[in-house]
Amino acid sequence: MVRLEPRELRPADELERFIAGLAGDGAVVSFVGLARPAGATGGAVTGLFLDAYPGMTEASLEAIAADARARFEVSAVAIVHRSGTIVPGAPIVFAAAAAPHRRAAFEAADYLMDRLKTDAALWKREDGPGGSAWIEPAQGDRADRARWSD
Amino acid sequence: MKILFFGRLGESIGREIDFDLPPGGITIAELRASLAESHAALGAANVRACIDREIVPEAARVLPGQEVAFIPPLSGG
Repeated sequence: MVRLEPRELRPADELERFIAGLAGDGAVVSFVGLARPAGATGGAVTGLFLDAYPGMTEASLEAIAADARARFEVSAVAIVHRSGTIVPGAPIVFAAAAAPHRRAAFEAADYLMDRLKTDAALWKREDGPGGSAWIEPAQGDRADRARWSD
Repeated sequence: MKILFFGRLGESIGREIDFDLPPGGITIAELRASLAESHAALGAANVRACIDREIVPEAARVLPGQEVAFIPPLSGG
């Protein structure tokens, strides 16, 4: 289950739908990312804008989900990512993994987020009282991504 | 043909512009040089080109009917 969501993301609904589609799994781990009220440089953020390239962005999310399915003993993964304008406190991303046992589900959810933070084909702009700035992955995000390098 | 732009390029140049593709096509490097005359931001080395939603090298040839886009480095999610 992979989707780019241009409108409101409702994590509880996504989790309910994800669980409803499972059969025989013993574990589900889900993660919800929220827009922060402070930007990469510490300034106030009044809104995030996520620009997506229709077709390419979805393909990048699909590729990350497929890699997680191949890498871990999971039966299903979900990624729902916002695009468009997001206010501080609102959900940006829902990621989930289901598995027969919890360890694989925890690891796959962790992996999904580390990959998404660097490899999702999205362009992020922080808007605040001091102006707007386009953002690239932070060094910490690259380090998190490198944890999974073969 | 239409050339698409995303992220900060979409903001500064606009989402798309029209480009007259010469018969026989053109390489990405040639297209970039031509567009950079009026949009200097496209000359930056970290701006990548896509053909049909896949990142391609500078030597790739653009043919009629394909979708071309220029993208800044990904921000990630």
